[in-house]
Amino acid sequence: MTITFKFNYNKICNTLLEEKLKAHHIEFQSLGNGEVEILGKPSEEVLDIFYKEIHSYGIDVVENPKLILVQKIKDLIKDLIFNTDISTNVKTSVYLAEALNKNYSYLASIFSEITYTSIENYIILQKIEYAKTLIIKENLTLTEIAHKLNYSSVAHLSRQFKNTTGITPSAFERIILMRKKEHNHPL
Amino acid sequence: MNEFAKSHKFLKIVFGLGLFIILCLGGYSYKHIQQLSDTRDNITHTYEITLELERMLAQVYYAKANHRGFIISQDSVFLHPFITNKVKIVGHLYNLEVLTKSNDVQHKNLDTLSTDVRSLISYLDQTISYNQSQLREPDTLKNVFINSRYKEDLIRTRTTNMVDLENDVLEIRQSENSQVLNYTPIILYSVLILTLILLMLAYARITHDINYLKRINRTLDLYKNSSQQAEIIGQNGTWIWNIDDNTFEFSDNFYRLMGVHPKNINDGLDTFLSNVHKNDRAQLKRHIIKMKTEEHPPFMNYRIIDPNYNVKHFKVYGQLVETKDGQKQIIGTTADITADVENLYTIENRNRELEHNNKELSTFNYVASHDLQEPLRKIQTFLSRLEIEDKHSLSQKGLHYIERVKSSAARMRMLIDDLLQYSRTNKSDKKFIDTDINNIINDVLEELSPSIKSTGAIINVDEFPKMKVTPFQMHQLFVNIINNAIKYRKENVTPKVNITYNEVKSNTVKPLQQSLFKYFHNISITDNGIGFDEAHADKIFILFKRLHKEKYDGTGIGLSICKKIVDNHNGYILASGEPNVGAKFDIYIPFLR
Amino acid sequence: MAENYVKIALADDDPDDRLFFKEAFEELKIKSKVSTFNDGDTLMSYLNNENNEIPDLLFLDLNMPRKSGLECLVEIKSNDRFNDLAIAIYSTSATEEDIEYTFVKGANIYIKKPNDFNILKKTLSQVVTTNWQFANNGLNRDNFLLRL
Repeated sequence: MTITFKFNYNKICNTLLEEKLKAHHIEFQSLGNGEVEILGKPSEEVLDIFYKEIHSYGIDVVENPKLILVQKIKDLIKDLIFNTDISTNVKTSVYLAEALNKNYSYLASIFSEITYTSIENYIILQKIEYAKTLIIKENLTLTEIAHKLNYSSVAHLSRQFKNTTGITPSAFERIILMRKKEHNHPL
Repeated sequence: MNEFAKSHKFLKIVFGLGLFIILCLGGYSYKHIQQLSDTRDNITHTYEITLELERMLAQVYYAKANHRGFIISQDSVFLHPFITNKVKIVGHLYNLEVLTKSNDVQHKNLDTLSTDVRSLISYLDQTISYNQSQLREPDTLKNVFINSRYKEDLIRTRTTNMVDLENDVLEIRQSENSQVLNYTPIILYSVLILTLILLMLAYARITHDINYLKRINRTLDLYKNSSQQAEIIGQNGTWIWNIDDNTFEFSDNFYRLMGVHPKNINDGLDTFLSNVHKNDRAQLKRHIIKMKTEEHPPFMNYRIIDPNYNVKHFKVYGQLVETKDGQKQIIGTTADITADVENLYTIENRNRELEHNNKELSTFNYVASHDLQEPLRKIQTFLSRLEIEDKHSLSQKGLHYIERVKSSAARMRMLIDDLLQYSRTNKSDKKFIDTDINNIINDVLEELSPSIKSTGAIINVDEFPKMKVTPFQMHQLFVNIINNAIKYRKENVTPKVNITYNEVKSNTVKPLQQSLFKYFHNISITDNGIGFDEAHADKIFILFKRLHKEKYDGTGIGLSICKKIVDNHNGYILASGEPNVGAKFDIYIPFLR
Repeated sequence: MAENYVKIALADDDPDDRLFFKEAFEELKIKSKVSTFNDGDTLMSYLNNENNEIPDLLFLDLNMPRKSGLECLVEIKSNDRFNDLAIAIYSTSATEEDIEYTFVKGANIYIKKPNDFNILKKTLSQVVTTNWQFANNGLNRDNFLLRL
């Protein structure tokens, strides 16, 4: 006889974590999604024993360095896009790896873990975002924008715009203008 | 009419002149007759004086003879006649006195004469009283006779002088008169001729005017006839309302419109109003007051009831005019608009029907877009769930059936989508916007990039100007045609699509020649695909018509949508092709310069 | 990231669609909390209750009884309380006019309901991650337009 079970991993982990905290007499408040706020001031010893015990269940404390790293990546990408001084010949991956002195695949995995998106996708998103601003605020033509954002052609820019947003640049401009008219929407 | 007025003036002048001339002629003639009678009077006068003088002289002779007889005989037989003679002489003298009153010279002569006559008579009287003794003296008698003889001679001389003088005067007067009278016939004759000429001129003028009037009358008759015909054709009638005596003059057709015999309703306003629909009466009365006061009163519609109790719709316009003699009239035209009103009702009904149909159609659209799509989408989604979740528990056959259901559902989706697209292009309320066609084509190529990439299609696009179009529809048009060009490609041949632009004049392209527009944008889309038989060029745009049914998947709606889009833009779409060479679509969109 | 899950709400009168929606999120590896509403009215009365949590992302079906998705959209956009709420139109029909109209009226995302469950999953995942980028990666929310 074969029986198939269905698991709710989140629930398992959360329940386990709560049981262990209670067992070690640590006062806490669950914030969900694997986050717990420690209310009292348990000694280093108690915490140490607690960490070791949950580690055996595959649960580890997440430390902030990842978030800090991701933030650094984001800042570098923004610099790359908005600051035209930086040489565009260098590949982004190389540039990031050198700047942060880390393996690129490591950076990529950390980045997607934190932001739910890849570095490449993030760069595209940021570029399109910049293009949007240029369309609305600077009143630049697509050709000018494509040049400014280092696209090989207008077609390339509009293709990427369309792929990212699902609408064409001209439709985007039209919609935003009509919105402005309709709501006097602050942009 | 101006000419006529001039002529009228001319005639007045001619007749005035004629009258004046005749008056002058009358006066002139009168004067002449007067002159003639003066002459006659003068002659008579002269003769009377001469006669009277002669008679007086004769009496003087008689008196002398009788005196002599008496002196000699002393017989009183002579005395009586002598006295009679004396009396007669005095009478003649008196007559002469009267006759010569007008002539001073003659009067003076007469005075001297009468003195002489009287002295002679007194001398004679004196001798009569002489007695016989005195007479017996020879000298005395001799003296008497010599003296009387002398006096008698003197009297005779004077009388002759007077007669001569009178004759002289007569002669002068007659010569004067005869001179005047000599001209009279010539003057009279010439004046008569002149008058005749004038009258003839007037006659000619009158004849001319009468002819002119006749011509005008003929034209008027024609106009009257044609206006009567116009009234019959145009279903209207004219009328004049004399306000002051409240009588109407209606044109014949007006009676016809009212459905009554002529002269049947000519009893003033109230009788007329009794034919008007009672709901419209008050308003019509108000409107009539307006007609009396306003210079340009508006039109008014009202209804009448004819003798057969039919309701008729009339439209009336009238204007106040004043005749020359100060009479106020309203001249108006009334049209029977019953047919128009009925047509309007029919059209309104049809419009309502059409609106209703349109509503039904849009409800159908909604059903197609939402209610039909939704179950289909769910069928497809459930199928995709089934396919993944239960892949392992399904038999090969079961999986195959799912495949078949999936492809049927996909085909149904395609049909629904295309039908929807087709019915949406129906909308006529789309706005035409100045649009950059280059952007539209870029967007289209972007949209089609998966199939362009997968087939390696090469697409060449001209530079396009801006056009006044509905952007969504133009987008759809390009998508459908370019999509077709790629879809119906030849096997193992790289699809090539050329999109070119030309501006053309309508007279250079045959199918455009009957168009009202002069200029057209010509968009040509040429491909190197499987093409089609030129014989099917017309059928290609018919809904659900598919030329390549066996090999290619399609709904037969795509090109119908294109045709509709081009129609919406008042344009033309033409297809030409050759099997295994390619197809070409020419789109013509009109524009104004 | 105090809360690591995404609060998602869906208003759709169609039970099958609600089912697909929930199942899709269950299968996605996104930490999410999905609440569904059967029509616009229940959705709005939930949102207008200030005790209730405002979701991060709201999916609106356009054709619903009582209160349509468009009415909900206009109502939400007129209330400053919902300034951070991203709105996705989730509809069967997708005409260009409809899409542009809802965007103009303030929608951020327009999703034409896919006819394949895998595509649905992919679509929803893309929507949530993109929305997450806009919510947490400092992108301009006013320019957030996405059509899928």
